[in-house]
Amino acid sequence: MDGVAGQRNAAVKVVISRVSGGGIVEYLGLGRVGLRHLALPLLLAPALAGCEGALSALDPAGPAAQSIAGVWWVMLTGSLVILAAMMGLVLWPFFKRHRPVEVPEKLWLWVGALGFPLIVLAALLAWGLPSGQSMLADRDGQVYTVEAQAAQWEWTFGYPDTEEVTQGVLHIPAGEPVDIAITSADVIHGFWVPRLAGKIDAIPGTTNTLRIFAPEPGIYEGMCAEFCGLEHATMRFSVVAHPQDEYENVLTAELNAEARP
Amino acid sequence: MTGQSRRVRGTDLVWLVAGFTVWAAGFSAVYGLHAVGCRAGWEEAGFAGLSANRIVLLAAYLGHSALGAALYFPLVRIAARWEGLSARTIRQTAIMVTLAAVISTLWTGAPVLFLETCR
Amino acid sequence: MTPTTPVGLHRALDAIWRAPRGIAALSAVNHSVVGRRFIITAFIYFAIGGVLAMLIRAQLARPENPFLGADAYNQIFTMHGTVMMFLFAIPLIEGVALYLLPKILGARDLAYPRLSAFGYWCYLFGGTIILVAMVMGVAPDSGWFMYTPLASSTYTPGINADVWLLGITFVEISAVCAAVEIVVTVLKVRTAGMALSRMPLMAWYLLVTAAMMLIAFPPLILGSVLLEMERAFNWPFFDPERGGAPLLWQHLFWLFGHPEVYIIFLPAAGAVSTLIPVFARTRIVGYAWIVAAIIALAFLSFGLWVHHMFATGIPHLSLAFFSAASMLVAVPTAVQVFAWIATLMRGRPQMSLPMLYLMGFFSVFILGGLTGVMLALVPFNWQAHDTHFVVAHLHYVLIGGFVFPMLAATYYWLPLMTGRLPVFSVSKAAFWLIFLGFHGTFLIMHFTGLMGMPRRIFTYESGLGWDLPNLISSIGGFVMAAGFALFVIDIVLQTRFGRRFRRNPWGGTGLDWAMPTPAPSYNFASLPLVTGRDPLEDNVRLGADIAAGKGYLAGAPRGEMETLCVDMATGEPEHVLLLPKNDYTPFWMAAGLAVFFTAFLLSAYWVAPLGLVIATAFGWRWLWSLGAKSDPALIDAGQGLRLPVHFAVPSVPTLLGLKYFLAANAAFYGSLLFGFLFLWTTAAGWPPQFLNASPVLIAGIAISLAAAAIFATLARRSNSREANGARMIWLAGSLAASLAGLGLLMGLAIMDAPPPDTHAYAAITMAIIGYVILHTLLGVMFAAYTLARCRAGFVSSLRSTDMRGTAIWQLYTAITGIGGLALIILAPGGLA
Repeated sequence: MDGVAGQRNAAVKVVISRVSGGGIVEYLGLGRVGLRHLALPLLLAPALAGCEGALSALDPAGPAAQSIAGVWWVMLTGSLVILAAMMGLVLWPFFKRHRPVEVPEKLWLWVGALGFPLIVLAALLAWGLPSGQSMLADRDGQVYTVEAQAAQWEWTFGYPDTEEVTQGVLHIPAGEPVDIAITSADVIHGFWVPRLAGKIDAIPGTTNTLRIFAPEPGIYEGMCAEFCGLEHATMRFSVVAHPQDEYENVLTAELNAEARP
Repeated sequence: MTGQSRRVRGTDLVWLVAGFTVWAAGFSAVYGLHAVGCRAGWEEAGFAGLSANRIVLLAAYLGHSALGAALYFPLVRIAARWEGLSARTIRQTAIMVTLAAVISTLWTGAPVLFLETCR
Repeated sequence: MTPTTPVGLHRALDAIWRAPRGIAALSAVNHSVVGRRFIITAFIYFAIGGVLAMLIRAQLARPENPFLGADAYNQIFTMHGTVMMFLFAIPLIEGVALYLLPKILGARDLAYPRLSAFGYWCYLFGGTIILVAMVMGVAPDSGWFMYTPLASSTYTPGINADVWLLGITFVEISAVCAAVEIVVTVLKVRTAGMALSRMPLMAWYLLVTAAMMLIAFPPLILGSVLLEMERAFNWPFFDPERGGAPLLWQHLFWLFGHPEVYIIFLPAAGAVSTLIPVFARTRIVGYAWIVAAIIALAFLSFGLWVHHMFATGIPHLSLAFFSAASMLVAVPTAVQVFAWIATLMRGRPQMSLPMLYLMGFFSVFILGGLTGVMLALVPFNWQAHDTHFVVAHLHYVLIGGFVFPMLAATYYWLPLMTGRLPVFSVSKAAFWLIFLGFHGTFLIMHFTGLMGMPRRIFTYESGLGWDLPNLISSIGGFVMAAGFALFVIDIVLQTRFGRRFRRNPWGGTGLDWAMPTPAPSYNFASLPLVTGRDPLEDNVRLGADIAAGKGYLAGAPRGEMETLCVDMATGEPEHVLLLPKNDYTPFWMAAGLAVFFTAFLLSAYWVAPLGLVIATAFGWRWLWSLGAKSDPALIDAGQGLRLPVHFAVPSVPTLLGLKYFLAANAAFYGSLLFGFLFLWTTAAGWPPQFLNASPVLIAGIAISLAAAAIFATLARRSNSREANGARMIWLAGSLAASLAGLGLLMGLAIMDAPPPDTHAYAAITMAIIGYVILHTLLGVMFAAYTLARCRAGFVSSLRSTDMRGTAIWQLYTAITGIGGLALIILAPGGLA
């Protein structure tokens, strides 16, 4: 078990190619690198070691993951500013130089407690809701669709026009959107490939569809995100994105290899 | 204002929760109707470029918002008659809560205005 | 001879209020005793939960750590969450509320002292069941959230999940009891002149919290009952292969689970609102704003639950409603924070010990609130959900929003219990260890989560960037644990060797500091007339005046335990509440339930009803002890005021409590009907089996239930007209109608309903019928009880509680019964 996982990690390290791309930050014309440098010094030292990792949502490769990582850095920076301002207000009355001041109650509460949060929250929603909608799968059958079935404690992947399946490894074409129809054979599991997109649950009796997009060929690690019993911790899988022109051949070869172990 | 002044009664405390009860009803209605509509295929029917699903959701959203806002007027009229202990605090609080409930109804249902249904 | 000196009053009162010692302590019902028991037991569970947390951090300190296996780890993290939420946080709130409420409201006890004693025994017995299971190695191991189908019998065949379902349900009985207790106490049991607008904010917070508990706990209790039915009798509510829906469990669980967070936070925020003005030497800014904010918070918190389910594949527009609501809930919280800041600014705050803990609260809780806003954002939630980011967030909110304020509150109110002040330096060191240890554990954990570490994994391999953050978290965790150990030492030191003081060490302005310390068993020698929000500021000699009997109901001239009941809004005295003496009934009733739950747990289904019979018998005895056989005279309450006794007025607290209990009951039933509708709209192939109910049978049931309600109302009216012959006839009619309804309902259940183990439709239909049967059966018992009470002479036109209660119950049964049957027969597959 450990050996397999170890090999998989080694492979990941080789294949990982850093991809930069669009997100909310570019959209706002801020530039992701700049913001990152702004936010990072404020984090604890270990965070400075970097956000790279085979399962790191902060090391995004797909557009959905990139967009979310971008908004995270924006929210982190904003939160730290708000936290500092609030703590300044809380602590200020304790300083010797503080004189009791009668804060104008209505103005203070209308502006500070109602106006300010409502504006910030409305801005977040105005970005977040359309953004979330844009990440959804279409369900119109136009996109290449594969099937993922979770069972305690393994992932099985099925492909169009074949009965053959692969276990633990999902093969997809790079550079095009792929929909994954996810279900479960027993308990609830969660399908999560952090570097590509957010997670969605695998629920028995239901099929949930998740759209992923791997711009570059490579191996993207995934895991079960929902607690599913004894071996939940080791219920991993990999998504291997192949160049589009090689995909059909590779998939056929992989399916044949699985068919005769 | 017409009517006799009177003391605040226990039953008047209903005004502290009336606004948000409308919010809760509106929230449940929009959430429930959305689930039912998507299951029953209301997405397919409709007119004037709006699906039946959207029309139902808009009606529930705007209806509850209007109902919540409408509470304000009887409240102000009735609360103006309260006098004696607690009257001022309960009046102030009831008006604030009722307004907050209208804002909440408008806020939480707002996605009906601009997001796709049933995806 | 009635004593008039302070010492004489004290002796007379203490003689009848004093807590019993030895084995008789089992009969204690006084709020100070019961509250203290709740608080101490909760802190013991906190220590147990803390040890479990340390085991978790020890295991995760290093990658591939062989310390714990998956099975042990799953039990430990499940128990950590379960213990902290159900056996620490909620009971601590209940304990604080039960202990403090009469003291801040100017009362001698709660509305129903025996009910809170009963609640304590339920809590203790239920918690013990869970703890014993853990010691025996069969603790729950499906997570504190118990998601189905993992927690169903197919995937958790052992006793583990049953321990959770039955133990927690048993404990939750105490939460519902405490909720009813708190609501009625705040609304009715206050001292003279304490209008709603003069209540300390803490009382508002507890009122709102308790009202939330009434609505929030029933869905969890229902979910637990349904899941236990599935596990024990194979009724497939959550089994997708037989028309059930795993997500139904999640809806019911989080419909409880999210309000629960605010139920935990609000009383702590109440403590913040109490402490800040005291230590800033000023009044709170924005009293009405805060009350409005907590009411808004209470409602909005019921519109957030799906944000725990953003990744379950629910349509995006539905998520959007909950995302918007989850963001909006930050606003009433901001109102409170800004009011607290304005209060600090207005005053000259001192960094005394409780204030130090409040500074911890501000820094931790604000950050937790900010990450909460992040998690409300749907796309970000898709990444962060089920990772250690959420673990970090929830600990920031719960430890920041609950534990820090509660530690501050402990330091603030402990002198009231002990009469001693803290040993300052130790407590300061404890604070810094807890504070730094906390941030050490959880700040880095946000990052660990975003680096992809999911929750609830017992091991991880090296090389994912998780090693160092986990090690830091573990070290921080042990620092924090050392801080809590020091806190315990400090409390023990303070209790034993603290500096004694006379009155009001902090300069508080509420009634809680207008009594001698340690607080006497009866709280107030006489009940003061309150003229403002800060009684001790309005009259600096208030404490001495109270002790000298210059208030209402001074001393115990009638040898009764008395306190005032007031008009809800204005605080004008209405009647005198006579409180019960110490009584073993609550203990034995809870013991009966313990027999029931234990037997059910051990699958001894034929022993279980025996426990219910014991509990019902003691319940009957309890009710029988209420009231009196003759109309009581008015009581001289002092200061020229003569008041009636509580059971001789229509606004008796008993009936108010019944109504609030029925509100909780309606929330339970509403959740059940929601389950029916949910399964109908989501499950495949609905319905497969038909309820072959004949319209005649259904109509017969409806008529019987309606008749029982109408007859009970007519009996009540005859009683108030003193038509004693007619009231017996109508009561007998109500009894007969209930019996007829019961028979017809049994017929429906046995002959016409499909077998409940065949399909979720059949199961939930049977659950609804079962609910109506249970309520009709209780209706039979209430009608019979009231008949017996009439014959025994307990009922008159003045003493009408039994009559009114029965009428209310029969009406509730008719409405819910007819409504439920209508839903069943109107839905597809209802009628034959």
